[in-house]
Amino acid sequence: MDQVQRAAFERLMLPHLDDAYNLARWLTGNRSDAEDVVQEAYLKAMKHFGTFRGPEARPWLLTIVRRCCFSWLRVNRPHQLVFTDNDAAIEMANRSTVVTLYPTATETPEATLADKEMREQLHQAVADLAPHYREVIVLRELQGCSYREISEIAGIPIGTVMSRLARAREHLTTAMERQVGHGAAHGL
Amino acid sequence: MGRLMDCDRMVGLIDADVDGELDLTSILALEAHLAACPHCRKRRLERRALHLRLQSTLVRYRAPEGLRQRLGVAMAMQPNADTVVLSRRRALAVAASAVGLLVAGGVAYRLTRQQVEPDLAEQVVASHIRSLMPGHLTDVASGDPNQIVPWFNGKVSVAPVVADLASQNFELVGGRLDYVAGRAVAALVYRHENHWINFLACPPMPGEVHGHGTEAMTIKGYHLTYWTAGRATYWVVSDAEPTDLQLFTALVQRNAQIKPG
Repeated sequence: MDQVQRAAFERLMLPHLDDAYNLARWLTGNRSDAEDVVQEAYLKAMKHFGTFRGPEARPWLLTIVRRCCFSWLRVNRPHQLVFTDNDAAIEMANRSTVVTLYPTATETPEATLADKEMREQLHQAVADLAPHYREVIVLRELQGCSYREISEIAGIPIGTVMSRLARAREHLTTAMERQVGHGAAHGL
Repeated sequence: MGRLMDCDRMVGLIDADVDGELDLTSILALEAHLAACPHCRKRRLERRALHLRLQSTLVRYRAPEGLRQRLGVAMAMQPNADTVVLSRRRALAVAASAVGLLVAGGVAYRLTRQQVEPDLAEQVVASHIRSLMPGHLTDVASGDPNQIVPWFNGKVSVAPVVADLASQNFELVGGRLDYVAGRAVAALVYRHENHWINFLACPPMPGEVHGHGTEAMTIKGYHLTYWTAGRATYWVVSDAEPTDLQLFTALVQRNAQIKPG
């Protein structure tokens, strides 16, 4: 890659570093690995920059970041992953994590859930989703990606984007309701 | 029965509606259904509440500044070949095992770049620090290459190459005759924001073995890049941000046609 290409690469791709990092941070679950994965993704992107045809840099870059994240997950968090795009299997993988959500819930029956606590729990509920659900929530709710972009980044049809989003939200609602059930009525 | 099937179909529409992804036909179909179905109305309310809560709750992580810098250096050092990722952990592990090997084996190294370049780099940094002392920055203070280049005639064996980078916010302020590793070298001085950048053109040093490409390092908080092109080794040194230094290096290489190799 010559200097002109490299300058173009940096101008197009570096503005999306926060998005790349956010996705990797949510998928790996920690800062140090997120940094390594993002660096790996950028170097890969650089190597394959010749295949970038535009027009939008963000989905192209995030596709690579996402792939690097899932490679990392396969090695480091294999139990979270199901090796198939079969939604029923994802459902099973998700259940194993969601069921154990807040096993010891609030011990103080009279306590209402403070807003801060509620936020922490919702955050945790997202972190505990199976990766295939977590990524659509992060891409949609945090990064404002359209269904079409998510479909491109995750390499799945738009119909699957929709069904995964619906299921992911179902799980979050259930997790929060279960939590609210232990505390006081707190409309979600 | 009919209504149940309808509700199943509406689940996806409700999410798409909350996400603003619904076309008009579907919006109308959804609204017609909602008017008659309290169950789905409740569901939409829940989904809207969840949507708002997620957006106001979830942390949107920002890339740490250290990552930005690490990336800049990693990309600048990237040859055209395969990608090599040096993670922090792995870097430490590799360094530790290398030290272990050296100690265990008592390996004697021949005079190669591993020994030559740190010395040279130290001298380049010393030159930079010296230049920052009062009155030492430039011998010829000018932003005009036509005044600077002739001034070096007969004084150095490798003539300086001047790049006009004013439009990129690297302002040429002058040239200086310096002394590095026993040789007279031409130093050009640029200003970038509040930082000085020294750009040295050195003749090849004895025993010096260079690879291809641009190398980067940091000594005493000063960042350096260097590369060989033709019969000269070029050094860039500054206390500016590493990313700025990378940019300067890339621009000089392109602008002055002195790419490595």
